[in-house]
Amino acid sequence: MAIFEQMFEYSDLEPTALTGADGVVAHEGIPIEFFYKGRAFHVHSLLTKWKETNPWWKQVGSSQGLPEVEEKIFWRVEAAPVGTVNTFEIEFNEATKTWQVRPTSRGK
Amino acid sequence: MGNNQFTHLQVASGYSFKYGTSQPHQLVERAAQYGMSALALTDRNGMPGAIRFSKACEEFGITPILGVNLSFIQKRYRVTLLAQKGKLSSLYRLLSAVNMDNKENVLTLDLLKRFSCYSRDVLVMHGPESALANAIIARKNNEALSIFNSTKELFADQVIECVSQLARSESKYSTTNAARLFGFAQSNSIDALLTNAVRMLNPSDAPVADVLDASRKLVLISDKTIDRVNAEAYLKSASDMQALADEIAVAAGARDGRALLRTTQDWATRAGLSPRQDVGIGGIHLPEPIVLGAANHEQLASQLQQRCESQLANKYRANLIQTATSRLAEELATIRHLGFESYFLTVTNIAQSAKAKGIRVAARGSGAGSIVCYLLGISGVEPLSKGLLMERFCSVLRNSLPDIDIDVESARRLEIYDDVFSAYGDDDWSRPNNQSRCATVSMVETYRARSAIRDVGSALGITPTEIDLLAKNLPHIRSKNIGRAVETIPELKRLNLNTPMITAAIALATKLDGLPRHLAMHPCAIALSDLQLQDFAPIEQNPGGYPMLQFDKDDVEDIGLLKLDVLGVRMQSAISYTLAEIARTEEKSVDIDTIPFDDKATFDLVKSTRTLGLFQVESPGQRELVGKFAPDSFNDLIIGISLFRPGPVKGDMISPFLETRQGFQTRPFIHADLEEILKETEGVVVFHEQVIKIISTVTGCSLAEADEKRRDLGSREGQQEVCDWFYSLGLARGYPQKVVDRVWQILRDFASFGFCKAHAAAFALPTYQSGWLKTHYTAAFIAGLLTHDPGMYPKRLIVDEARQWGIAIAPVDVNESDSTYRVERTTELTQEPYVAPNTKSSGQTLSLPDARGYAIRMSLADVRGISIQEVENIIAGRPYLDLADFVYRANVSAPTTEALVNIGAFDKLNGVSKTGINRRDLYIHLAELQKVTTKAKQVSAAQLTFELKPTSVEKLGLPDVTAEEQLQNELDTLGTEVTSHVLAPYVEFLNSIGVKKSAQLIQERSGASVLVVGVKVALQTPPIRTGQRVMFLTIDDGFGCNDLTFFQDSQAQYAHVIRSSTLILARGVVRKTGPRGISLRATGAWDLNEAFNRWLAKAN
Repeated sequence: MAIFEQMFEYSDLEPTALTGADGVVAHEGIPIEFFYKGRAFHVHSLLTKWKETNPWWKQVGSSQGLPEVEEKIFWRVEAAPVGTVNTFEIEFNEATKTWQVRPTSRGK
Repeated sequence: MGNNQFTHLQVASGYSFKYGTSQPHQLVERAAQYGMSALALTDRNGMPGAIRFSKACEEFGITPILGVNLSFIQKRYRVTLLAQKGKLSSLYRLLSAVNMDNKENVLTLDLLKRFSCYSRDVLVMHGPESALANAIIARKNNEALSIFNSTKELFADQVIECVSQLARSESKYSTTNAARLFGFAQSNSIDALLTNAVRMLNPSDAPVADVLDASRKLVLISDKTIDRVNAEAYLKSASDMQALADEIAVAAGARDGRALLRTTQDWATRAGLSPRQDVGIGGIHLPEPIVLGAANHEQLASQLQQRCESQLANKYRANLIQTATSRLAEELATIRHLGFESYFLTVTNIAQSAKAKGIRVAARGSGAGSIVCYLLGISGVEPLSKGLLMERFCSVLRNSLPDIDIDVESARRLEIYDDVFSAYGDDDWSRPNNQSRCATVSMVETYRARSAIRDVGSALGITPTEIDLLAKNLPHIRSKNIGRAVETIPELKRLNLNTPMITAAIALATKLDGLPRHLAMHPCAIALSDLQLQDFAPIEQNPGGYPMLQFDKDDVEDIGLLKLDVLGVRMQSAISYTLAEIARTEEKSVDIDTIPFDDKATFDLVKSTRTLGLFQVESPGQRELVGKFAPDSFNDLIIGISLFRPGPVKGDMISPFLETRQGFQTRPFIHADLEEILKETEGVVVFHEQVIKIISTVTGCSLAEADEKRRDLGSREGQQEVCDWFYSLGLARGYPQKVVDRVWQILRDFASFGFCKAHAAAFALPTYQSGWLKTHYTAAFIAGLLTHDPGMYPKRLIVDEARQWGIAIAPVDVNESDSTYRVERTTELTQEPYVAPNTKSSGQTLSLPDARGYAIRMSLADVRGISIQEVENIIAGRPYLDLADFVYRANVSAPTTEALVNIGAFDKLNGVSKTGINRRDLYIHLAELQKVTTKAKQVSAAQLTFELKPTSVEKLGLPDVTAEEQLQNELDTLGTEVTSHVLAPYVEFLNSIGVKKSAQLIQERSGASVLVVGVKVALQTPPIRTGQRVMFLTIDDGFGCNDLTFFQDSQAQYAHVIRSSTLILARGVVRKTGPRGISLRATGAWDLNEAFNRWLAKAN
């Protein structure tokens, strides 16, 4: 479910992507990169998303009038630290029917 | 498609009771703002919002889609049915079948099969609440398929409804689950569409939804009880829905959500309805000619003509027949033009079938202005002599149906319902094609301040006492006005309402304003129609026992059904009872509907202000008015009824009228052409009919158009338009500027205060009839009042009133009393009847009733605690030989028997006054008898007669019951005194301080200060012109009523007395207001008991 690869390339991103307070980078509201325990992670796929609202009835009493309805969005994602996902080239030789693997850069 | 369109097909409004948080028109408006071309309304369990919704759609240019969400096969599973274009009737009829079958609104398989002729026209959506969805989520694909296939042939089409409200994965409303449903649909080549299961307008409505859920489930709002997880169930924009479609589709492995969106739009097109053709707005449906005994419309029209013409000779004398005939022709032409023959004939038949059963029927409202109504016997008021107009009731310019209400005897009202339903209904709901042409009408109960606070308070967990305190002190206002009420009403300001909890509760309650809570049956409306009734309205079973439309009065008018209000009026029952008593006691049959309208004695009674019991003129304010203006004719009664209303009072119309009438000022002259119109009301515009005639005379337009203009005067824009039109035509026709100015001023100032003369005439009829009966058959009439209790006064006052006319009050007697009040002849000496003293200003003696020789026998039914069964038992076991005989045979409980002894019901039987036995002896005897009887019940019945012979009553030499105790017993047991007036113990005191009797006040000079006394009967604070609060206190002293007015200055000091005391001594200044008008401006009020005790103390 590699949705993101379908959607856009990281290198194409403009610097206008938002940075959240906890170090989350989002594009059009969808989180794509974040920092966790000092490491940078890239989000690779979106598993699910859901929304919840606050239990306003518990907040009655802290201020006058009706408490505001506050929404939270939750994302469940697969992510891996930057740099830990590598690009490889895998070669298959039709003549000898053998495989060969070597690391490579993304670009080409 | 691809043009960014989305249509919401699953939307619940507030007409999903205690579920939806918004009004249909709010949802429509939002959809229009989004640029959507169509919107569905699919309320839960019913469709009461359908008409309002469709009208709003029409207004905003959106195509309406109608459906209903209900339980399917089993109660816990739900589906949504949608009407196909052109086939709304099938959906309505299917829904009616479900409603009439079971209370839980479950569309069972059996119902589906029986009514498949309807369901095959209907579309069905299987959403997350359906059995199908449940099976899919549980991965029981085979079961899912079989569910789907089992009902395939029974519907026009089926679809899977995918909903994602972005809930967590486990929930029904998660993207994951929606994707599963979509996946299943794709794999099995089943259609799938997207909705948002809408119940709110905005996410911020979430707390309202929570309160409604909690209130519906009767729980506190808490984590455990809350249904919602987030606030996504609102009416989202097309782009939001498109994004959701993509998310769901992608999660199911598809590229994007285009297929979902396309199917949604396809279905929206199939279900789009026309407000006029499909929903029936603007249509008219009257019972078909064949129902009324005519083969076709032509015959119906001639039936109407013939029935009217045949009555001309009966109801009109030779000199008026010509006018009547031409008026009839005009009205028939109007009716023909509109096609309303069926309306008049249907109402006539209902009225006549009621009359045939001896039930009294009288039309009320503007229908009294129509000669057709008069000739058909629907109305008892002759319109020509009173200048009443057909146009006010029904005109070619207004093509909505006219409104007729009928007053009937309250006790027999439901018999009329039964009649209508047996003539026009069909009670077989188990098969298609029910032929009902009638149903009752519903009434939507909405949240107002009190109910809102109660539900919110309970949901939030505010203590019941606090909720009660707040709710009880809130007046009956709209809940959106609670905030303002809290700031302005003194009682509320005193409560501590500033806590966060309370302010939150008030804020929430305000948001509940106007939301529907419950569908109740309208108390008096019946709707009639042709056979298409159920094509245009769904029906449900009402606990009252009659099939009921899910639509209310306004909806019924919008779809053009005949609506008849059948009001139960106790006065009609009282009149009917009076006539029966007259027949029984005088062996005379009086036809009250044919009495002459110019009976002098009747008007003398009205002029005397002794109008207790006279429908419409018995209130203190009305009595003052008739005292001032001394009505002399039926037309005067009509004027009096029209004038005494808040509008004319505030608008200061009464004084100019009275002063001109009494000769203190001359009638203003405006123009010769208007003299005829304004003569009867001394130049003051009182009636709508006068407004219509004035407009028509000055501008030359037709009466029908004039009535339209009159209605337009009701709004500000309308006033401006009418003004321009009026001036241009009036001046063009040659009326001088000054005249047009003056007339326009009158129209502008008084048009809104006017009253429909036909209405007033319809009211004046029973007023006059009751007056006539009170004048000529006083005892029978008062017996009717006591039995049916129609007026505003307590029984003890009516009993007093009887004595005023020389009628004796015969006490409750076990051998004589009935279950109602009965007239008897008597030789008992009673007080002299009331004679209105001759006064200088009136210059004439009035001839008033003298009913000496008659008595009214008190009824058994008013004995406190007695049951209907006991009353019947007593009557069945008569005659009783003595108390013992009664105890053994009457089958009456001990407390009731004691009560009967206490009020002297056995006095005659046991010869109390003759033999020297007194009530205490009887009371002891009763106790002994009861011991014996209890013992007897323990022994076999056979031995009773031999061994347990009752002892006879012994004269024990105990002191008799005192007059005070007697009085107290009577008041406690019967609610009224019988043997003496409650003021009797104070007579010496009252005489010594010079208290005047109410009947004598008319002899006092204006300006004299007098003392009066009485039992408090009524305390009112009606609105008056200046806006200051005035209190009207009415007290009864056994000789009549004293009406005291407390203005601002006297209220402060004496308010507590007049509010809390029952026996009041008052001082006031006499003011003569007319020939017999007396009014007392109060200058003091004291509790009688306290004053009496102080006098006693001083005397000793």
